[in-house]
Amino acid sequence: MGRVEMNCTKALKIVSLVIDGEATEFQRRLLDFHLLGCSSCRKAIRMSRDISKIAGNLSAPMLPVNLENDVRDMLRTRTDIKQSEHRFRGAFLTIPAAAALLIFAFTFLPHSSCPESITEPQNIGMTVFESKNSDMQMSLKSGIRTAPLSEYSRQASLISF
Amino acid sequence: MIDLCKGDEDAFSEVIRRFQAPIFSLLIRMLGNEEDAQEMLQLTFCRVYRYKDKFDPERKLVNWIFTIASNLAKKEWRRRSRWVNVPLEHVNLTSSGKTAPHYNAGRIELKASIEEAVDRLAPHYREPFILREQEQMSYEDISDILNIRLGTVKSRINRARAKLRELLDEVWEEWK
Repeated sequence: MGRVEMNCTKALKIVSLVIDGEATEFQRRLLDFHLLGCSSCRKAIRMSRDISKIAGNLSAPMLPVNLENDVRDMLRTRTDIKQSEHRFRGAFLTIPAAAALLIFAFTFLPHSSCPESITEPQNIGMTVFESKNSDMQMSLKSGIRTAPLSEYSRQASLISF
Repeated sequence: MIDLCKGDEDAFSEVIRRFQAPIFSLLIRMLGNEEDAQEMLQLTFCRVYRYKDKFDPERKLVNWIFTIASNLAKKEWRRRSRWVNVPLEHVNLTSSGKTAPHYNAGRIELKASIEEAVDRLAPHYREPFILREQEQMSYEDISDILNIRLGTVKSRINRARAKLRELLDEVWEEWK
């Protein structure tokens, strides 16, 4: 059987399983072997055990008095339905409100992305380049000049020959 | 539960009596304050009563009730997070007393720090961690309650522990 080694990341995953009693015998042996030579994982397992022990006994909250009566009152007056509707109504209103805002924005506000409003980049190098390639096209988004698609297709056909 | 489905009111009282403490404990840890937890606790039992006919007898009753409470807590969390954005991670806890504490005092301090650190975990790590540590639930039950895969439960609990180790490193060093 080949030698099985384990790094700290895998060891720490098994630490959690060992603490919860969900590790297999093989995993436990692997971890024991790793712990022999790894002080940081030994510390991690000790610490996790302590945290687990204390977290299991965290202070219990004081229970509400008359819970049963309150629940029965809620059921009788149907306030539970009204209350949950009221609490979670926001979620149902958010989407229509956002949609209405978007419609309003598209209908009444002037379009900011019309071609006239785009400012040409003030670049001297670009003007020199432009004089040589008068048929260059300008991308609306980035402002970068590129050759028209027909140029590319012509180049490609030349290469293929 | 069968009795409750038949309309036995005493069975409902029994359900409340049996499950109010663990559910309230989970809700407080999830929501962080008693008022909201109390309200969600009432809503949980109201839902148990209203949807009693929809209970699948193949499922454990405790899992079903915890699922209802967990879903309500998540809804409340989502509602709240729309308005309040509290960074829950990347917070390092420091020990308040720098001198070597007495063992018991140190233990109390560690306990308080653990409570605080658990509250600072992200909700999706906190919930399986609480179910495991406080309610001693199996991975399978947690997977059923939260409707997530078994592997996800394991990894979330593991990450919760890793985060707690990171948060409590300094306090633990002083305590041990």
